[in-house]
Amino acid sequence: MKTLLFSPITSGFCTNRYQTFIRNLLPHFFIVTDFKYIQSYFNHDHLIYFEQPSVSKSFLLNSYQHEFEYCYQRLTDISSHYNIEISSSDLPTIEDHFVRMISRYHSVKTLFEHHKEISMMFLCPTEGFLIDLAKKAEVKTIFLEHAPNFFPTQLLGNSSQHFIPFHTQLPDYIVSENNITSLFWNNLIDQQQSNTQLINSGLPLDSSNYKLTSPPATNPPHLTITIFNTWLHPTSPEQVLKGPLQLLDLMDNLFESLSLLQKRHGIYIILKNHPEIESNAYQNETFYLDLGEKYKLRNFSIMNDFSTALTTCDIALVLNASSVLTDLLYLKIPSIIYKLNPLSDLSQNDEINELFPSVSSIESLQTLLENFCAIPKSLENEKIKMTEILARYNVKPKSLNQKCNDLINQLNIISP
Amino acid sequence: MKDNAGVQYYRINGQFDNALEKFLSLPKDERCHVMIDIAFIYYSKQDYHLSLTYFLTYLSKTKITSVNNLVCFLATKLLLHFPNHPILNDILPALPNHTYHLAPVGPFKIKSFNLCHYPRLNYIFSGHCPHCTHTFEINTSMSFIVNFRSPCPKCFQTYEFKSEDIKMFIDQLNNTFLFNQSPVKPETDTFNYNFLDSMLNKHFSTCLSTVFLRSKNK
Repeated sequence: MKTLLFSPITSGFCTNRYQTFIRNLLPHFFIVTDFKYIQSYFNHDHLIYFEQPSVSKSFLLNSYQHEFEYCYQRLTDISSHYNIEISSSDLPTIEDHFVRMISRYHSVKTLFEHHKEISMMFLCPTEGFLIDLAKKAEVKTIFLEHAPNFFPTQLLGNSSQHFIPFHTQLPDYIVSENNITSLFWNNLIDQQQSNTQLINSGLPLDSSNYKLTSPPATNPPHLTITIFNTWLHPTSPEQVLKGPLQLLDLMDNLFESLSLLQKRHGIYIILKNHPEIESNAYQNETFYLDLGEKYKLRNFSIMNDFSTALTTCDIALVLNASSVLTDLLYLKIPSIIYKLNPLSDLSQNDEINELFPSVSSIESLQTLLENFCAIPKSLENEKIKMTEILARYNVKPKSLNQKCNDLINQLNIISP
Repeated sequence: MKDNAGVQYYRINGQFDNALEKFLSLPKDERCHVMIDIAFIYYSKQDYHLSLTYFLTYLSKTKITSVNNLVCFLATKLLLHFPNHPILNDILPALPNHTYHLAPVGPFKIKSFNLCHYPRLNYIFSGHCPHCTHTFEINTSMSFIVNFRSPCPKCFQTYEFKSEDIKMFIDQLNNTFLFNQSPVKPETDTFNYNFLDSMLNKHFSTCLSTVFLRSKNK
C-alpha cells in the first residue's frame, strides 16, 4: 500500500473541503501527517501521526544561513524598489518571519527524512517551492487546487501579479477538473516544456456534492440575482490599503445600483459570501444588511448554503474570476464577472471570456443586468451558449463519488 | 503565537484564533479550567450554542469559590438567548453580586493596525476599549467590511466597530507616501534559490507589508 503526504496548505483542506475524498482515500493508502487534529479528526489506522522534533530559532537560522542571506538581500532589493529603507532595527522581525517561513519547509523535509516510504505528495499550486525538495526525496508531486478555475495562469503565469515575483515550477501531476481546465493546464505545461501529466478525475470537493441537473428554482417575473462575494488579496504594497477600501466603496455603489434595478424589475437579491468571509460573519453581516436598508432593498438576504445559493440563482454576479464559475457553467446559469482589478488577466480561452462577460464599472454592470432582466430571451441565449460549450468540450459534470473513485484509481497506477 | 502564553492571555488580548489553537493543543484534562475563556470567545463570535456548551461544561467541572465577573457576564448574557434554560436560571441567583451593570455602547478606538499574509490574510487592528481603556486586538480577517458589537475581553462592556472607523483611521495616516508603480523584477540569475522566491512571495509579504505600513505611519 502506498503512502501519501499532504503539504502544509493541502493538510488544511483535509478537514474541510476534501473530507469525503480523505475518507474514501484512507482504506486504500497510508497518509502521514504531522497535524494531530487531522489524526483525531479521521481516527483511522492508516493515518500515521508524526510528531515533529522541536527545533529552535537559532538551529533554523544556522541550518539555513545561506537561504537567510538570500532572503535578506531580496527583501532589501524589493524595499529599495519601493523607496523604503530597511533599518537594522528590522532585523529581529525579518529573522522571525524567516524562521516562521523556513520552519514549514523544514517540517516537510523532516517528514521525508523520517518516512522514506512516502511516495506521493499533494500540494497547492502556491507551494511550488516544495517541488525540488520532493524530487530529492524521490516523492511524486501532485497539484491539488483549493477549487477548480478557468484562470490557472493568474496564479502561475504572470509573475508581475505577485507581491514578490518568482519563477514557477510544475509538479509531476496535476488534478484537473474537466476538459476545459485540462486545455489551460496543457498550455502551461507546453509553455514550460514540462513533463507534467494531467489526472482528469475532477476535483473531489465536498462543495461539488450538489444535484448537477437541478434547474434554477425561480423564474421570471421574479428573477434572482446572486452576488458571489470575495475579497482582494493584496498583490502589491499599494493594494494593502487601497484594495479593501475600494471594496467598501464598490459595495455601496453595487447596492445602490441593485436597488434601482429592483425598482424596475422586482428582482430578488441574494448575497453568498466566500466561506472565508462567512467564517467572520458576526463581524460583517450587519454591514451588508445595513446597506440593504440604506438603499431600501426588498427581498434581499444573505445565504450561507452553497448548493442552495447555486440552485436558486437565475443570474450570477461573481466578484473576480472565482472558482464558482465552474459550478455556474455546469448548471448553465448566466454569469457576469465584476473585475475588482481591471488589469487582471482574462482566461486563455476566448470562448470562456465570451461566456462570462466581465465588467469593471458599476455603469457597465448596470447595462448588462438591465439587459438580462428586461429581455428574457437574452437569458435563454446565454444558457444555449453554455450548453454548446459544454458539449463542444465534452464536459460531463461528475458526482463527488465518481471523482473520488477516479482519482483514487489514478493514484493507484502512479508508479513510485 | 507565544509558546508560553495561555488561553486566558490570548483571550484578554483579543487574539481569539491563538486562544482556540492553544486550547486544542492542551491535554484533555487541562482544558476544563479554560473552557470559560472559550465560552467567552464563542459568545463574542455570536455562536451562542457553542458558548453555552463550553460554559455549562466549565460549570459542571469547576467549583466556583469566589465572585467571577466572567461567569456573571456569561450567565447573564446567555440567559437572554436561552431564557428557559434551567441551569442558567439556577446559577444567577446563586452567584454573589451577580447584577451586571451595562454601560452605553462606545466605539473601539484604533491605535494601529498590521497585516498578516500567512497562513491566511488577516488585518489586525489594535486599539482601546471605550470603557476601560484596555488595549486589545480585533482581527477582521481579510477585509475592512465590518459592522459589529462585541464585549471587551477585559471589562465585558460592549464596544462597536464599523468600517467607517477604519476609513477614518486610514485617512489620518500620512498619504503623501507614493509607492513605485512599476512591478518588481523577478530574479533571473539565482536558479539555485528558485524555491526561495516562491516561498518569499507567500510568507514574506507579511514582513514587507509591516515595513511598508510602518513607513506610511511615519
